[in-house]
Amino acid sequence: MKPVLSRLAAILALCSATALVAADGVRAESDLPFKRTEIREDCDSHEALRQPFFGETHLHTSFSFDAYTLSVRNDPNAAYEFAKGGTVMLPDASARAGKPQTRTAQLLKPLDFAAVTDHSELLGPMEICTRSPKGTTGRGSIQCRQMRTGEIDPGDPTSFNPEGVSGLWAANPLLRPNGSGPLLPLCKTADCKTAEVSLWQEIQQAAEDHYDRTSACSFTTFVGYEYTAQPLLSNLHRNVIFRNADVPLAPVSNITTGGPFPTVLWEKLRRRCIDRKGSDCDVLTIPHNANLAGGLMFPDPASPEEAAERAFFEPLTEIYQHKAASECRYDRQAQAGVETNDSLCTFEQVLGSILGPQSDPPDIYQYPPRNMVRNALKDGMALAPDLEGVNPFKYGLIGSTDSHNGDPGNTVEKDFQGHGGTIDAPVVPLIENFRLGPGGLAVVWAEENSRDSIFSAMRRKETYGTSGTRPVVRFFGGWDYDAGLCENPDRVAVGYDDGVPMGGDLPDMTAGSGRPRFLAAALRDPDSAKLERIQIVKGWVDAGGQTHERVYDVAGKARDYTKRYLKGVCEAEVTSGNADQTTRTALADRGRNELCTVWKDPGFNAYLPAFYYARVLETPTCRWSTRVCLAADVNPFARPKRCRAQAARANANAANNGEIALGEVPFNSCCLTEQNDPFIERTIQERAWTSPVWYAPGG
Amino acid sequence: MRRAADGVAVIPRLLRAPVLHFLLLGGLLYAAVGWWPVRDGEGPGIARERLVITVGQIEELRQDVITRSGRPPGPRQLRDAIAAAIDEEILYREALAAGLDRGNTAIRQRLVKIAGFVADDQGLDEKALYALALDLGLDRSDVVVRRQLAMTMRLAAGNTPLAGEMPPGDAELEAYLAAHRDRFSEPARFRLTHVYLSEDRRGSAGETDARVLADTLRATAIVPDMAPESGDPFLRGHHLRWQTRQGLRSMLGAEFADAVADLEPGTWSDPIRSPYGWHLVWVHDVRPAVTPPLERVRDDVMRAVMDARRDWRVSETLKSMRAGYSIDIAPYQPDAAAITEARDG
Repeated sequence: MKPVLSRLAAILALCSATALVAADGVRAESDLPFKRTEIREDCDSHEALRQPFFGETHLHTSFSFDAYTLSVRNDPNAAYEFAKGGTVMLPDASARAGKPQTRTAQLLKPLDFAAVTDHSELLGPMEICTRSPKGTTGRGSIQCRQMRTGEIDPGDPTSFNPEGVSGLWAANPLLRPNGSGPLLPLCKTADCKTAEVSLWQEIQQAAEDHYDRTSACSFTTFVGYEYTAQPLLSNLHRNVIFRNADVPLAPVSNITTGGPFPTVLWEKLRRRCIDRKGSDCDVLTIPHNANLAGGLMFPDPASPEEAAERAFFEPLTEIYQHKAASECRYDRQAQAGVETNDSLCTFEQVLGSILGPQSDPPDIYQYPPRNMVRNALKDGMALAPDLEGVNPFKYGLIGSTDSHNGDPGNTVEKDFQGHGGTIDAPVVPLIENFRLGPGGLAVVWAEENSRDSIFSAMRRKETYGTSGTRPVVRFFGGWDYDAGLCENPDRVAVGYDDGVPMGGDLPDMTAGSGRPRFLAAALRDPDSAKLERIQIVKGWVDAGGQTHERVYDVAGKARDYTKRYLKGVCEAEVTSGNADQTTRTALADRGRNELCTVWKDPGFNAYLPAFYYARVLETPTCRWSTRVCLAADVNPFARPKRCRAQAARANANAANNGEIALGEVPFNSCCLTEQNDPFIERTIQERAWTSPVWYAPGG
Repeated sequence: MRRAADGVAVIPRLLRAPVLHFLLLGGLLYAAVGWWPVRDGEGPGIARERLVITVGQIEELRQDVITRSGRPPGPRQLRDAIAAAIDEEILYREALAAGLDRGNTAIRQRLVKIAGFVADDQGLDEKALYALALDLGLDRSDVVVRRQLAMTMRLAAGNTPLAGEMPPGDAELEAYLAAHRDRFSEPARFRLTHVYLSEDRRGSAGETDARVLADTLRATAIVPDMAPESGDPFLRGHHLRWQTRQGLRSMLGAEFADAVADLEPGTWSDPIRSPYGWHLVWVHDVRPAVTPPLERVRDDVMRAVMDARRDWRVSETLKSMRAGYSIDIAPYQPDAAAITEARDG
């Protein structure tokens, strides 16, 4: 049963009329480099050499049970409005049951596309408890009253414990042993199945209502949800993104798969979507937070078939989001990394390795290597020979937020006010989540801003992730790129013609091929800092099956930033309110507006498989936590003793205000620095990571 | 606690209900008349409550601005901060008068929590702690409680129609649409070619280079599509097709987008600045903005009109509330140290 697509009907009528008119852009099907699987107008803005579109692929609204308990009341409609430039309300730190909503948020630059991805497991109970009319069976159940009040013991305000309610709701479907009983007791009598279908239809309707099918192509939505698999608190979550409006009747959740089994997810998606006769259904799944997966996100596949299914369904993974970065990990105090020596891998790391609390988080030597995507990328090449040549971990990269506020793409560092409703609302709860951040953006190179074009870009991995800003990054690999290609105004066309873009496989070597060459170019985000440098990260497998990596600086220049410089960065930002270049001229920022280079791999060995991805670094800007600390009169740049005294004062104030219990010391985090913490930085070098280009030895 | 002048406690019954219920009551609200204990403020015999802003409070407000923005407030900024503080105080007191603190579980719980911190006897139960909180006047002194009550009152004021208010009709919606065309229109789109001169490569000489190049391009009547080769390569391409002003702004900054919006098609512009350098722009074609008929955007317009309504209700309500107070602001002269601070920034 499809949702009422009244707007679609209007477009249909429009299309049959315009098909007769030879307008500037009625393109024949054969002209399109991607398959058109839906009815819509052609886009006025269509570029064969592709354009960058900035979007969100991981966002929760009030339809997600956890967001709801945290007093978030922005539904998918509000979320899409926000993505297009509207405002949303956010709850006060002290809010209960959704009241009061005292904060506002708004994007200064709207997104090009977004997918709302609410937790699929509890959609039925959410519909019954929070959206059904009085008298609906189950609405008066204790679980529903818990959800609506946030009280474990509904009616007893002293039992207010939203995280507890969330945990009770989640325990069954997300952590349940295989197929034991209905998801929540209320589903014994209430019709959770119908309710789930109903809420899923609302999700589809919201996506349809906000998808611009006209030739303006101003905004694209994707129907989606989150498959919230987490065996024993190891994160195996995936975001399921559908290509068009042709979607299954209900989401395939952990309930459907009888537990947290991605392989079963793919099997069911294949049956209900990919292989469904006479349907244009297409879908991909994006795993996230490998850094919290306890080493389980990228397990050795059981068979070549499983490897192939993973490779088919999962062209992309999140390299960075609110719950920290998953590229690589380096502990500056131990001077050691997880299969790396890359000191830039201190970037946005949390202490633990799983989704839940860890009394004894692993040190850098015990940290599971495949919690970091770079290691999985290397291991994938090493595994391929035993999987009939299939590389199971051939992931392209994107960023996202995983915000639970219904505010997609809300990644501006200086405006960060938490991503989890009351649980990290300013100020104290926010400071308590010191190591987390605003998350990043998904960027795709696509011909036009439409579902088919963007989805195709995701499938071929022509994507990159950012840490929240919007640099424009191009990356191509080929055998014949001229050293002077950067000066060529047609460099992008040459990039495509004589090689492959990010996410691609290097063409076969020819007789005359020497070393592979890579065109890496970046243009800074006009509203952020200048670019410091471009690096290329190479990973390869030697003849003995051992993996290696090496990071090359290929454009721009690394700098040692003095504490005085970094302090100045934050002071300038706080005074002016901006993070862009105009306010920082006094700092003699020697970064660049643009960088471009053609790099030849000096260590190339034609017999060894390898990948190469580009990492682009901005010059430092102020981290959100430093700004929040400064506003609370705690200066992370002050001498340690002074900072600690300021923190003590701030803690005491918070205790006096009843915001924390006596003895809690959240503001102490403000005094974490590059000198006394393994990962924390007081400033942040925003960055982008492109999907890799892979090389496989020929033959 | 203040009562209405005529001695009758005018406490709108609806105000006891959770604020969100206002949004559901729809048409019922429009039948309501004069919920607020509105005073005309003048005339003998009407007792006005005193509201005093002391020098100490002004100093605190001043410090707040410094903490938030990094620099001391100018006179205007300070006046605004004081006015906002007065509004908050009035809303808070009116909330008390309307009994919004009673039956508010969030506030009750907070008071119980604070009382728990200060109680001598740690064995008190929830009820006793609440009573203790009231005894100690914590409901009057706690900053968070005050803030919450003020906010709730503000929301209530925004969601309650004023006397004689009618739901927005088509005429009002049409007028709003006409007055705010930009917000609802399909924006104008531009097709342009630009020549780029990079600041990275040329430094400040880029500006002169750009001017010289502009003259050359105009003199040689070069085909616009070929012109970019005489400048530097731009990663986002030189032929931008059908971008909106907002799109150009995101790509190349506000100055560039604003300049392009004013260009005559079919000619080379003077150098236009972007965060990257200078650009010579040739606009090929403009598709003008289209204002849709009300029917197509009715929902969006209604939403905007109601937002404006709510703001208006709050400001009108505050006006009439203010009339019931006699407000004393202490004369404030920032001392010499503060003046120096302001001057030296």
